Amino acid sequence: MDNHYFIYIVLLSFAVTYPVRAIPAVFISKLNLSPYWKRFLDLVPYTALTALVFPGVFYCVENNQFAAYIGTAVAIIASIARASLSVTVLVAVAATYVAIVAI
Amino acid sequence: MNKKQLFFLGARHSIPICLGYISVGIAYAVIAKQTGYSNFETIFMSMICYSGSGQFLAVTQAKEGASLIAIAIGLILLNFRYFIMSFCVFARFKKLDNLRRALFGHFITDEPFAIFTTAKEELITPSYFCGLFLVSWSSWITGAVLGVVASDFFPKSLTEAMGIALYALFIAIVVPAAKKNYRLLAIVLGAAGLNLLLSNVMDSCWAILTTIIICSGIGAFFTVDNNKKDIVEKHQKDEYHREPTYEELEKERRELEEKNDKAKEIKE
Repeated sequence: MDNHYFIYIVLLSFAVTYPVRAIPAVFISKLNLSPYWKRFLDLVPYTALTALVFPGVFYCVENNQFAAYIGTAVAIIASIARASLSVTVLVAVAATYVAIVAI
Repeated sequence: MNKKQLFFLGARHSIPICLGYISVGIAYAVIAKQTGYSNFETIFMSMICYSGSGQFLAVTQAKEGASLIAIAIGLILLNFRYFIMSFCVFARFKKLDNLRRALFGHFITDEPFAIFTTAKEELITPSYFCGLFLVSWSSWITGAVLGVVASDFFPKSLTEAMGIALYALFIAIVVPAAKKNYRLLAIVLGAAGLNLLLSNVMDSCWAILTTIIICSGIGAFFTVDNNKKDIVEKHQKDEYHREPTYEELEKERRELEEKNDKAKEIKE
């Protein structure tokens, strides 16, 4: 492992991440889409976010799944009760913190 | 609304994202420093890579001294969802020059993407985009800087608890929309179930991509309205996103009745 190992990783991370974002932005998104594909793209935010949450959220607290369950439940309840985005985030973090400390 | 107002509205909508980004950014910086990154490398990576999960992956793999090729493949797999997201975002911009597309593209991440693509049609402008995405990006860097400077001041249990922030944000975006639309609720529950299953049998980044494609693909047959009113509801609590309160609906109804009454009187 030489001295430049980490900076290579940083530059590499840009070299492989940027094109993934920029290619559809510049080229592909100008195509005209059929209604089916438009509906598909409208659904992507919701399916993507759900897939990102489950099951990732259960492992987001190291060695303490219970605290993660508490935080998830609090976030779901808060958002059903129409708390704003910021409030939901804050109460979920607070609940998780309490659960970690209490156990 | 003029450009400045749109920009600041975008900035305001990024506040919940910033809360999440700063806390997760701190967690990232603490790990990166432990791995052996210099202060500059830690912050610079947040600026140019700008991918939470990607950075965590790169840092944990670097800890084990992984080869650059392995890290590159991991990053591409993990970040391939940005390909779809970027497509989604820029398909909505009809008139935008290539230079700005190339510049804006860098700022695509899960959370501002979620807010942007579920925002009202009239907000889909470059100014709103900049407010939302640039402020989110800055907060991610702020998190890294705070993590580098003040990593010793944060108790471990707090940085751990902060890890749930982004998930809570996602939940807060999906749940209100799903609550109002049973088709969307079914699609979302299907996505959760499928991803739970798939992540047992394959790598989580593959599972996420497969879930997105299968569930959106099937769901698109069942959602009726294609100009997104059917699935995207006003769900945030301010004048551009929130749903009308009972009082407002009542007021609207009364006004309508008054109008009708007047119309009747005139007829008579």
